[in-house]
Amino acid sequence: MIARVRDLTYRYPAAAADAAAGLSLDVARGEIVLVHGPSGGGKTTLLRALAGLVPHFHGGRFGGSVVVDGLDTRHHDVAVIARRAGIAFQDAESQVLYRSVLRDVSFGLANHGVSRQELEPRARAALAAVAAGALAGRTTDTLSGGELQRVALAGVLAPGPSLLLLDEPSAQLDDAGASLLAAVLRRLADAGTAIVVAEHRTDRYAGVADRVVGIGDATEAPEWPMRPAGTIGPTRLELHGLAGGRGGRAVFAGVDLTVGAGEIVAIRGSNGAGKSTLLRLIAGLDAPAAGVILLEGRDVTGAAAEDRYPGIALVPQDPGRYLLCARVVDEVRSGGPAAEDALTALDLDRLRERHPRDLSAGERERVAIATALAADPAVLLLDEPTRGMDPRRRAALAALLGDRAAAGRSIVVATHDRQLIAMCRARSVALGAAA
Amino acid sequence: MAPLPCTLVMGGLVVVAFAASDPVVLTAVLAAALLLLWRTAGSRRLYLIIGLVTGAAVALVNPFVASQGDLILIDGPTTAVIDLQVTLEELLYGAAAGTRLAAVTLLTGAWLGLVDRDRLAARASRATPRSTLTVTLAARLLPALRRDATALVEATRLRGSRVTGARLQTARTWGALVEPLCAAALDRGAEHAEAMAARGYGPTRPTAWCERPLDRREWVAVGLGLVICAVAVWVLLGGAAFGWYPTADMPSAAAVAAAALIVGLGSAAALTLGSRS
Repeated sequence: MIARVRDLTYRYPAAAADAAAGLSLDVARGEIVLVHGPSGGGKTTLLRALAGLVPHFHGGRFGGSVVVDGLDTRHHDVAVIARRAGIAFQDAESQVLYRSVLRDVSFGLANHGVSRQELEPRARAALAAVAAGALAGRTTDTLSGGELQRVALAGVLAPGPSLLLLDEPSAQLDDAGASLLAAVLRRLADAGTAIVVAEHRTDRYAGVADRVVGIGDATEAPEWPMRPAGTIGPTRLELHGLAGGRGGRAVFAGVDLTVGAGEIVAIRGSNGAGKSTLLRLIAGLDAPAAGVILLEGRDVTGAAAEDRYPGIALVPQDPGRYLLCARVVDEVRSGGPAAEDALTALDLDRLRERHPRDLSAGERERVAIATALAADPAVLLLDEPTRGMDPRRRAALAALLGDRAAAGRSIVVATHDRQLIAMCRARSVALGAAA
Repeated sequence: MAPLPCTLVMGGLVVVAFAASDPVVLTAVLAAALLLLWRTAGSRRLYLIIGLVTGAAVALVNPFVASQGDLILIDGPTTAVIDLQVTLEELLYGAAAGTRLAAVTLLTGAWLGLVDRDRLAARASRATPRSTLTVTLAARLLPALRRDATALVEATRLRGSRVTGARLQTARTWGALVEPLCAAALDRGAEHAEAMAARGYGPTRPTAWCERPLDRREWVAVGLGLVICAVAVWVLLGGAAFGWYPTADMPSAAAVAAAALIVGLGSAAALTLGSRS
């Protein structure tokens, strides 16, 4: 066994409840263990415990034992454990430390004392292993979310840990990227690396994972409720010849799209195709390089985001960065007058007094969606809304979006999640070379 | 740009700004600072606003806290807390102090905008390994916080609040962003520190990255920086001394020559340093 967890119980400092309670897990060399469970169910805490970050970095109350490659994590420093266990966090943005991609990937290597002649070749090899070799000359501030996730993963892979811990590694990857990741993980496991993946999208590891372990109140994925096909009303949103870019680079041009009242449109595309950029243009956060945006026949191309509110509401890709208030209830109320209905619809009533920054990624996502829904927008834009959501929540979201569409609202969702697209019966539109 | 040329140029000018009292020399440093800031790739407006506002504030306040000078312009009473007698010398000295503060602020902004933070963090890890965490966090945190601040402003706009336009409403909107920005800063700092720990940062000295050698432009900037440092040494030795009270001196010919040299060196450095991002 490379890792052995026994009766792990842990509570973060000042937290009211345990983040993990009585968890036990054995991981053998060369094994891929898929861990799933509800949002906030303790998956991230388990990975942190295996990396020694819990309790050394976070403090708090720790019970039970975690042994990694013969080291009891309670008695060894994180830096020592890091030589054996590498962890990739859910939010790649926080993991990346340098501006230069190559330097960032080599950070762990340098800390492990790899000779300077080997730093760059090994960093390049790690990037190549996750099909990100072309990013070697880029700077991290110009990368899309999916590209950044690959760079973060390369940084963890580079030192060659014997235990690899991945927290939702495919959350921002397109299907091709996710398939590639699964193949990379299988190859690493076959070479003897033990891998623990905390993931809601278990379908992406079918045939690759050796074991699937449920923690917390883990439930099987429910039957996918297919939304009945609804009637699509008159055109509400029109894009004509839209062109947009990111960081001074043109990403797409000539995009035409019409969205009717009561329609759900899914924007698909590979990482870096410009899905988020397109939603930002529609929301009015950025100005298009060319083209026209019509909302219910009105030209809103030159209107700012605040002038498009409440007609258009956007839930951005990383909602954790868009939190303004100290309580969930205040955050949702800041979105608009229909806050109470939104809180109930997203099952947030029990979290209403919590600080949004203390929530898990999936819970934050729900808070962000509720905040947007509170304005009762005619057009709701969602950027990767199922990130960090367990299957039950995803099904509930699909049902909610279906209800909104049935009420005549229009929804545009940028996503890699094919199941969400199917559940919503969304019209799928490919941007660039769709994956 | 490599840390060495940036630090020599900007550091030399900061020393001149602090050591010189001659108004011509201080004005020259401010001009050089403006040129250098103009050549940075990042956000310049913030440093311009901070530098000019704080500089102007110092210039305006000085006449009311100093009580020196012969040429009286306003003959008001002097109380225990405020001196309402304003002299020409007090005004000039205040302007010089404000110029100094503005120049140092702009030079700090220029240095932050021009220096390659990756190479700076790597240098720090070699020179003072125990400070690596601080330097890397600071280097990473600044751009991350800028993006977080942008995200928070966008969040506000997406909820219908204006961040420009009517002053009172705008002030309220920006005021409401202070707390979430502080929370975001704490969150980011903790997350980056956790990532560093998880990636093996610890007591052992990390391997140094094979840095590319300085290129021709950087060597030119090093040369310019060394000349600026020589001027700074001359100023430190009293080369740009100036008497403000009881009556202001006339700038010396040497100070005027030094000022011309500083503007010339600053312009050349701005062209050289700013040509790379």
